[in-house]
Amino acid sequence: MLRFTLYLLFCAFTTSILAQNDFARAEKMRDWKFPRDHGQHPAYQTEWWYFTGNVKTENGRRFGYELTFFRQALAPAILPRESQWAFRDVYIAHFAITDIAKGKFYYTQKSARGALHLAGADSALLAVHLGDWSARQENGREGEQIRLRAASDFGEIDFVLQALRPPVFHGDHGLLPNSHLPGDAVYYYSLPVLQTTGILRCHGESFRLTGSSWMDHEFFTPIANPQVIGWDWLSLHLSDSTAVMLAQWRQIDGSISPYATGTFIRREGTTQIFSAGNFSFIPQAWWTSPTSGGKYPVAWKIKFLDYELQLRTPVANQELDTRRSTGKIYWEGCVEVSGKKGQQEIRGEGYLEMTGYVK
Amino acid sequence: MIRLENLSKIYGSRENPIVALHDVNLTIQTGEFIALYGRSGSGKSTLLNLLSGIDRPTSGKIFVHAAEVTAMDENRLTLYRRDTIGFVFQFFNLLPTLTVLENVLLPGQLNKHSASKLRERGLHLLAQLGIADRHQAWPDQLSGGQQQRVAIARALINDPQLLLADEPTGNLDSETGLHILEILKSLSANHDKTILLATHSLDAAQFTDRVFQVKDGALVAQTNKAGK
Amino acid sequence: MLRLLRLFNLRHLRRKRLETLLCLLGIALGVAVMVGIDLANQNALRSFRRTVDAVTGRATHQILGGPAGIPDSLAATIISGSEVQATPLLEYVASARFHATIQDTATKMILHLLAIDPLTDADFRDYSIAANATARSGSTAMSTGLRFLLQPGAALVDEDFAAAHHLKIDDTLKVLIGARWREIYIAGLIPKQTLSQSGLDNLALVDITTGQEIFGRVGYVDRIDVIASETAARTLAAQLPASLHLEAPARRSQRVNDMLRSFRLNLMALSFLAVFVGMFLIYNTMMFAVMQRRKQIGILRCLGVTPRQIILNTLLEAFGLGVIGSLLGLGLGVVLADYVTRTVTTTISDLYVFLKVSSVTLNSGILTKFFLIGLLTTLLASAVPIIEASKVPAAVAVRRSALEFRAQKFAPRFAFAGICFLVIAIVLALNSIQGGEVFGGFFFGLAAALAVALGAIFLTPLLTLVLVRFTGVIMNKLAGMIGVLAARNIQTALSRTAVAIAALMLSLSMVLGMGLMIASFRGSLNDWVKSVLQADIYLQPTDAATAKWEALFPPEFIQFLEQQPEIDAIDLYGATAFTYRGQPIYLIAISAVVVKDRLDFIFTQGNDQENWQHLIAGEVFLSDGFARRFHKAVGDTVVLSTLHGPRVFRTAAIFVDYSFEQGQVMMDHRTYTENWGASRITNIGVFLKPQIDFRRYAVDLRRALAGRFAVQVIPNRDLRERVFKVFDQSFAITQVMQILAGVVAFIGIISAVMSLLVERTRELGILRAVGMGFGQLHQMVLIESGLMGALAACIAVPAGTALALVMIYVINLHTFNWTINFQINFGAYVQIWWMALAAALLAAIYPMSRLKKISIAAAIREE
Repeated sequence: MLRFTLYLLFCAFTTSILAQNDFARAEKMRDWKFPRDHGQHPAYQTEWWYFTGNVKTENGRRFGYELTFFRQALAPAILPRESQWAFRDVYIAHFAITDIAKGKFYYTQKSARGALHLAGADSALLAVHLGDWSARQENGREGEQIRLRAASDFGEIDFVLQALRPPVFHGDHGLLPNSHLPGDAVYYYSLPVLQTTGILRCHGESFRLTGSSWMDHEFFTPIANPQVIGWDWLSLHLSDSTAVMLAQWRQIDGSISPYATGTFIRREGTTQIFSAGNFSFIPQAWWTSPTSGGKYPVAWKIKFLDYELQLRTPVANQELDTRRSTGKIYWEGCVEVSGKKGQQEIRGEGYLEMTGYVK
Repeated sequence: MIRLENLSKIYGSRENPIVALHDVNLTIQTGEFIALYGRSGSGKSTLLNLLSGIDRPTSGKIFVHAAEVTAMDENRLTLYRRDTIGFVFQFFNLLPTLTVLENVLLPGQLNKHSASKLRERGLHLLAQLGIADRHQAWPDQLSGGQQQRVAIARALINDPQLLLADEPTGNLDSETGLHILEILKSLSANHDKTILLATHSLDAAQFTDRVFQVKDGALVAQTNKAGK
Repeated sequence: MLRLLRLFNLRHLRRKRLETLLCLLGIALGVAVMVGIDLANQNALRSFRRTVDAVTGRATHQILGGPAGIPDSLAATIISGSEVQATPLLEYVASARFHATIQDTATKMILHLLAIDPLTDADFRDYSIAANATARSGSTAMSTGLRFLLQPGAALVDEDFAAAHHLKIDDTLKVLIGARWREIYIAGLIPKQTLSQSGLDNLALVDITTGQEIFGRVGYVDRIDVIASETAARTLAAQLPASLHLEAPARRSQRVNDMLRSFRLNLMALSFLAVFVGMFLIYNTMMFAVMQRRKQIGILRCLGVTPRQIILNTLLEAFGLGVIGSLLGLGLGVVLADYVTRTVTTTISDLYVFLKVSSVTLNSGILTKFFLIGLLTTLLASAVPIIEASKVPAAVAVRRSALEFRAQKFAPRFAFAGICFLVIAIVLALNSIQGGEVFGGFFFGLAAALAVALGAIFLTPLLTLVLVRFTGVIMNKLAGMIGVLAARNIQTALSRTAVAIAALMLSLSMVLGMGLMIASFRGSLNDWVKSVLQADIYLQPTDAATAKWEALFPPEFIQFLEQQPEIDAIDLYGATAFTYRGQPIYLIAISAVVVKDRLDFIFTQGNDQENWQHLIAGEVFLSDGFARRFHKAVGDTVVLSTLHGPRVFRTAAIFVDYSFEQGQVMMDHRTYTENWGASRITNIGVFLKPQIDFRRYAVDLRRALAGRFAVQVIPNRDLRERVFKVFDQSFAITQVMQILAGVVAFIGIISAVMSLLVERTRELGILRAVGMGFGQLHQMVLIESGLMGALAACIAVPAGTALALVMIYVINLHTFNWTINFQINFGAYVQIWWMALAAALLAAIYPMSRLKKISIAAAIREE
């Protein structure tokens, strides 16, 4: 027997197949326009805005953070209702802080209906909120910037994110197929390098921090693909001012889906798209979650272009049990890499997401 | 005339019978003063109880003035006790909640006699017995002899033909006892009452006309008093 | 030696089988009364409290608004903004029916409807959906969860409820809310396991959207549940706008508790009474049992048994009797509790909140407590006479007269104590009247009643002596020596007869006191009903039976009424549960202009017309109960919290009221609306035009409403009848106590007569020997018993009247807040006389039948 909310949402995510037919699908090339495309795309059932970042104090004390907003439409449209509590979209948000110095990881989750300003997203620009957690596009001192705010019992963030690169489109100009199934694709772009400044409070301590963040924005109408059991996703900021995103889908037979992809972002902002054969992303060591029993790779060997990097996780336990909201247990945490580009020493930081490791 | 025919009383169970009276035959003339003499437990009290209708015999018959007591039902027996019998007990058996006079009047009242006449008679009886001055006293305020005289007055209130006295002197000192016996004797002599006196004292028995010795539930000897 | 004694006791018990049985019955009844009332008291609110707890879940606090609830926007702001977890909620207790079976009356199906926001609720409550509960809805396969969130009227009902009423998924249910039938359909089932853990029955969950719509509450939520630490809660409370407040969920059951305060006090008083009666009964029976043994004890003493051995041995016997009797009593008590719980639940459901009648749950604490009380009382009750008996010299013990002599000597001393108790009663009563402290006042009042009872009990021996002496003379005239004997017997056996008479007197006094109080109450209520219930027809939403004051008339209904040509005027009456100084009260909104010339309010002072003018101008009326409870007089101000923060209202007048014991603040609708938002209409009084026949119109109105509104149309006379029906119902439990008191008295008398006869065997023998017939003997016993009954009734007349006065002018006025005018009721006096004589004469029947068994020869030989 499942807990109430989980069950409701679980059903909402997976079994509303018929209703899904009325949602739009990520099929055609998109004519991207900003800031409009930072806003929500209600024609698609699922949408998320993912913020991850590595920040540190002047003294070098390091933290990682994750703030994610999900929008999930329950139906393409709803009946007109008298009550203001009627809603079409469920909003879910996850918020996590990794205190690297103390080796601690804190996270929490929230959900709300897209009604009565309990939660919502703007269609014209980046402005998504759930309760008092929000990511909003603002006009700041140096032009467009994003204000991130979230608070929970363990801590609080209030960051200003300044985009140092224009949006980067993954796949084919932002249309990224996930499998051979028709319509199984997502619209996906990132703001890969976001200069981050602001305040983080963790268990009563307050820190002034700087660092860099990464934003992913995806929207699509999901299609069940029984072949795929999970995925590994990685974003890195490297010491040579490049950045990279790698993603691969693990299939039921243990192989990696041929739709694995990656995007390399050069210092000046130009990109190079990788497909399955262009990179390798191989687990080296594992950590077993004492709570869920999930066995996660926490050290990886990464190769792309002439980069050869060793990835490790400063805090092994960065697992989130979000069965209450999205119905999943996954690992998402800050990572660090070191290695070489040819002969050049390279270091870097980033975020790793691993799903589908809990049986 | 009182006649007892083959009177027997057996207590206890069939397997273990206790014979209180065995085949007693006796005839008493009206006005006679009879003593039943015997030791405690000899059966004399049982005989009086049967005669008074307080107890019923196992077998045999009792005739009192031609009426068969042993054939009476409980109601006739009650009336028989009330009208024909006067009973005087060893322990006086006065009712402690009633005054002397009330005790005396009680059997009369049960008979619904006229209250004023009854009261007159009660006072008269008490006067005859020499305790008229104590008629408003409570029984426990009287001496033993006085209480027994009250009991005698109570026994006489309905003017019974037969007076039964069960060890009336048993609880009194000898002088007082003597006085009670004299009262009984004069009742027999002057008022033509038939009196049965049960006693274990030969001295007491000497006051009567005839003495029957009772032993183990049977009449074993009869002594006619000389001079009568 | 002791073993032999024990054998002796057992033999005694076996020989005196009936006496033993009576004694056991006495103990058992005593324990049963205590257990029954206490269990019922504990059980009555249990189901309600469990429901509240289950609905509360893990919430640490609740945010509540005014009578209208919390507006959506405010609720959303609080839920979004707070650092603590918060979720909105609406609740309604509705009657429901399966739509296939169309009946006009509300069936017994009761649904506890809970409207939640599942997205924010997950941390509060563990409701689950049966995992396989996905159902077909037309051709669209849609998950239960989606239907629940998206479809109007979708509900999850508990499996038990569905099974009990043969309901399946997709079935439609009609639920009665606010005078209208609304439809919900079963989208899924909530499994049993979840519910049995949480203690919720008859639950239906709906999404808050559906909730607002079917409850007719669009735009508002009832409350917001919060999980917060104490510090966070304090911060939150400080941030709330004036119209909202934060409280602990326990306050909710507490509020119901407070609302039921006087009802609970009543039960508590009854429970005290039950303990008192029960202990008295046990004492009574045990004392008789031991007294019968005096002679035996005397013989044993003569044989050289030490007092210590006798005490120990007899106490051992009492212990045995106490254990068996108390155990029997526990069993009886549970049966009794079942009945009492039912009565209590019905009354609470009628008057306060809807409760589901639940079976009695045994509480081992209560059972143990009363088992011990039963046992200890038995031991104590036997100890007093045993110790006394064992102490007296051997020879004296045999003779009862010694004791009787002492008893008679003590009678004046007892009487003195009795007078002292009466003085104490007066002091306590005055104290209670003057003392402001409500609870303390109640106990003073109760203590005063107890003191009256004790006073009467202690005066009984002397009064018995005096009265018997007096009646002795009469008895002599009436029944001659038999009468004298009977009277003297009572006098002589005072130690026993006085106890029996006191027991009977006590129960008669209770019956009389209650009877007089109830009759006076009824009379006063009648006066009030005549003055206030003057509309021709009264209307109430049918769901008021379950939802109480939450059942409101929809605005459409009022519009409908206003269009009826036969109607002259409409009094819209709105009762709202409210809090004043932390205590539950009611706000009453009325149509002042309509009622000012039509109803005769009983004002304590002032000119009626002026009072009404003040009310229309925005002042308030206070009920007499409110004024007394909070010490308010005409002209005083009352501060009530409104949507705009605290506001001061001036008291225009105080009026006599019997509708709410908690007290009410009455105002015009305009005043209410200004301060608390839209008027809530809970009842309507309809005044018809002069030529309209109200009976015919009621029929017409019912027909016109059928199918549109579920409204009870109650003609004036029926409402008055209903008022008295509820009144009588609420006193039903008192009747149980009266019957039990009667049984106690009966057992007291029967054991008194029995033991009197047993002890006087020799005297009876003498009486028979000197020619007393059975008829005369029976006559004597009947006179004796009847005389005891009559004496008890004689003493009960003043004692019962005094009790009634205490109940009316002390307890009811100052604790239960009802103004009652004492009214002499001859019926009540006549009733106790026939009760007394019937009990006494009935009690004589068995002892009389035993007289035949006495052997005269054996009896007179005894000494």
